[in-house]
Amino acid sequence: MLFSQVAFYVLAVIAVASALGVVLNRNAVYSMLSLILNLLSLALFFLLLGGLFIATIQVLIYAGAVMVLFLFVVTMLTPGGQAPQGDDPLRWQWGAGIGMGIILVGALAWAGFTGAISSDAKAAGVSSLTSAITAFGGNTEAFGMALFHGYSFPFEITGLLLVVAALGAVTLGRRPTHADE
Amino acid sequence: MPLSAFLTVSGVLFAIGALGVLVRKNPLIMFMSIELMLNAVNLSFMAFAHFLDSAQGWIFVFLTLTVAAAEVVVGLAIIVSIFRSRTNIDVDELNSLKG
Amino acid sequence: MLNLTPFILLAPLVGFVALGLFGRALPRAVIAMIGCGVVLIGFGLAVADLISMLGVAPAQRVSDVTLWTWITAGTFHVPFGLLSDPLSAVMLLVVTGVGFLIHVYSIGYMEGDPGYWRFFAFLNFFVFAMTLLVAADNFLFLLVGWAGVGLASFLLIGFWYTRASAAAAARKAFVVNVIGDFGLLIAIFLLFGAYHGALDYHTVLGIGSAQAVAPTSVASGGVLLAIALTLFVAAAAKSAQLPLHVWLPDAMEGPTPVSALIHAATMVTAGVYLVARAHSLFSAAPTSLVVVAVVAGATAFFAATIACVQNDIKRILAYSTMSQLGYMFMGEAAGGFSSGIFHLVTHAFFKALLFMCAGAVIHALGGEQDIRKMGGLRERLSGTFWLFVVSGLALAAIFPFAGFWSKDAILGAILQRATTGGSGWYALYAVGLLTAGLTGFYIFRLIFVTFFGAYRGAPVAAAHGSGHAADARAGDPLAGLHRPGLALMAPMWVLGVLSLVGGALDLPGSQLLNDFLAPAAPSAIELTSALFWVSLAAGLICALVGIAIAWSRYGQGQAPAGDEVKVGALVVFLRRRWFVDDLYEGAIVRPILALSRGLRFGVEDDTLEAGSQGVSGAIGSLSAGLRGLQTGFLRNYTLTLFLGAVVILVYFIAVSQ
Repeated sequence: MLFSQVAFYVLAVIAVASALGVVLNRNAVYSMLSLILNLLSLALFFLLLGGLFIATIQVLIYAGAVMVLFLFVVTMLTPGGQAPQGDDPLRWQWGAGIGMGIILVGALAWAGFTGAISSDAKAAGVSSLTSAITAFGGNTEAFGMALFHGYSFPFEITGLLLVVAALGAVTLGRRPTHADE
Repeated sequence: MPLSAFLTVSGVLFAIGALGVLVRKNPLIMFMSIELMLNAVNLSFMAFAHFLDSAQGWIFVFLTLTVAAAEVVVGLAIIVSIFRSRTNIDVDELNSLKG
Repeated sequence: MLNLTPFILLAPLVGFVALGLFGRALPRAVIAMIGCGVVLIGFGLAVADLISMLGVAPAQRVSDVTLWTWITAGTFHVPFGLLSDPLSAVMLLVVTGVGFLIHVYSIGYMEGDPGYWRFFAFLNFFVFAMTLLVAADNFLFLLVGWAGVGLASFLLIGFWYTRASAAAAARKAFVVNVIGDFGLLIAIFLLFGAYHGALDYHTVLGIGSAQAVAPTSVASGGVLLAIALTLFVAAAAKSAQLPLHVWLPDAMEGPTPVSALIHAATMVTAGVYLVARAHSLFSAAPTSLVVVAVVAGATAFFAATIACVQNDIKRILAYSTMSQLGYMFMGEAAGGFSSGIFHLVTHAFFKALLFMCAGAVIHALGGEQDIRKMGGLRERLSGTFWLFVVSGLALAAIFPFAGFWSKDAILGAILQRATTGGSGWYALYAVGLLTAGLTGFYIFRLIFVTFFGAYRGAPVAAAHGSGHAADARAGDPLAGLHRPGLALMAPMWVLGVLSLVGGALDLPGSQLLNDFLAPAAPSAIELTSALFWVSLAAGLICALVGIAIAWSRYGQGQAPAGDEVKVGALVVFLRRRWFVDDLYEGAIVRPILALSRGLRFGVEDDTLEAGSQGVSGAIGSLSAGLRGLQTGFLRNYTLTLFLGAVVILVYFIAVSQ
């Protein structure tokens, strides 16, 4: 028990700190590295919450493939690695953003601590997970049974989405040829 | 740890991500902030899955992850095609829709 | 008993339609034949109706023909119905008979006018509308004819529409007439309410039915008084009584036949007809008769005084008409409704003749209307001169001409009323006598100045090859005089004879017309013999005194005072027509113009336009303000998105508490 509490706090600090690092860093590459750290800390969070499979997926796909893609683009688009400085015409957005962020967090926290959210969700009636894990002999198997037995349609749609995204990326990424002019 | 603690962390991460989208001018950093927001949501989903003892949370995380990946692909392709021929990547320059 | 009224109505209508549609292409002779022929047919049918009416007993001399139903709404039922009874028979004879004579006169008078066909078409339309007015058997149908003659008057006054003064005069006549129409409409509304939806003469006026509904049984005294007064407003507007008289002098802008027919013989008498027709309503509210008497007496006196200083030959006659109409109303107010109608008939004869003679003079002099520029026409226009004298004597009510008998009937009725009514009626009688004297004065002033002495005007231009012989003597200013032809003179001779013997219709002994009209228009009580001779003599003496004064001042052909001579205050007052026109200008015209200007600039320009422009301007600035949201910056848009999300989230959290 104690271990998980300590782990929670440590991970929470790391996650928030790296998030701030993403947002506040001047250098895009440093931001990106901060983001990777954030993703890894989240993966550990998932572990803490018993989602082995998801944690693995997070590291593999998110922290791995997606961030590599980001890295490519960042290095391609920042010659010199410095974001250009100029007069920011929207200085007031800082204040607006911070204000709204505080409101958001406050509201969520308050809702969470007074139990409104969790009690609503509990009332909805969901199927038991722990029994599924023991029944199917493992995290991955339970996840697979849930996905393919209840959510096969979204799964297929997601597959279609990926195909479209790939096509879109290829089209957008092409250099304009003479036939397009 | 109670559920609300996880939710608080998730909320904080989400707020920081929103702040980043609003404040930064570099499109890539804005994009990363969006990823941050998505991940914060993933965290809250996982927390619910654990505390409500349901696999639905895992399913949602999985789908969100997949969609986020697809979105990253397309979004980066767009950013590349917009800013390919510019020396200066600044989102504020895309203001030709000014009314 | 025959009721040929539908055909009497149809004939001039056919004439109007035929001339209106095809007149432009027809030759003059055909136009004249159609125009006069249809009215002659109408006259013939009216005579036939009269003869058949004389063949039945007096109590049955009423016949009603319904052409079709006009309005049916629940129990409200208005037919196109035509009534034939003694009163309408007399009126129809006057309208079609004198109308026919004037149509023939117009053949000669309007010769050479490019609008020849239009003139006869409009004249036919007028005869149609006037027939409708006198033959209608309910008040609503009467209103149709009433408005129709107003329209005809407008069309004919403004016949020479290229003249601005004619167009203005036509407008003025129409506007004042509409005031009368409004009065009639109010009266119809009140009758509708009092008689529970019945507007026909049988129910309201008790014509032809044994059980007449007494007016006092259906409405209170106040309502009856209102009905009678609003009817009189309509009559006053149509018959040019004070203060709605202002249109009649200006109406002389129309051609002389129009003045003769419409503004002397027939249209202006529609008011007299209305009062006679609705006599039971007026008698049921005695105060209304007092009002009528006062207004009529005032008008008669007022018009006669102004006629004494006028210099336009037609205006003198216009004011004279106004004065004589006042006499007719005075007679009706005193209870002698049939005497009013009698004077209407004789007045039609001699006033139409007067206008025709004036027209002949104007025509002869090539358009001159100012009597100061006339004179010495006695030998050259001898026929016209003698006819002028005959009609003048009839107008002045000299024995034995027609006007003598009819004016005496009126004055006798007033005097009789005075013996029972009180001192007010004696005052009215005195006014009547005084006006009789003035009448003699102004008409003979006109005759002496025009025909006696030496010619004072400009040389008359010769006719353009029309066959009038020019005098061989050089230097004669009247060399080009256009002697009136047969078409002009023949109708005038007929009317001259009627002006002489017309009194035979209602001599004190035989009372032919009185008895004939008795069911429809009651007459005053007979005077006792002493008062009778007194009244006869008094009227005659006053008229002779007036003529004598005119002889002394103008008998040798002296010209009336011109503008350059300084005149006394009285003459100025009369010349300015008692300042009534100025009163209208100041009290009504100027405030209305000021109000219009105020509304146009103050309300419309400043308030409404500015208001609507203000609205559009406000919308414009609102949209300009909203456009500020579209900064083009991506980050602003994301801020808006985020803001919306936060708001919704907070709302849901708050609501779930």
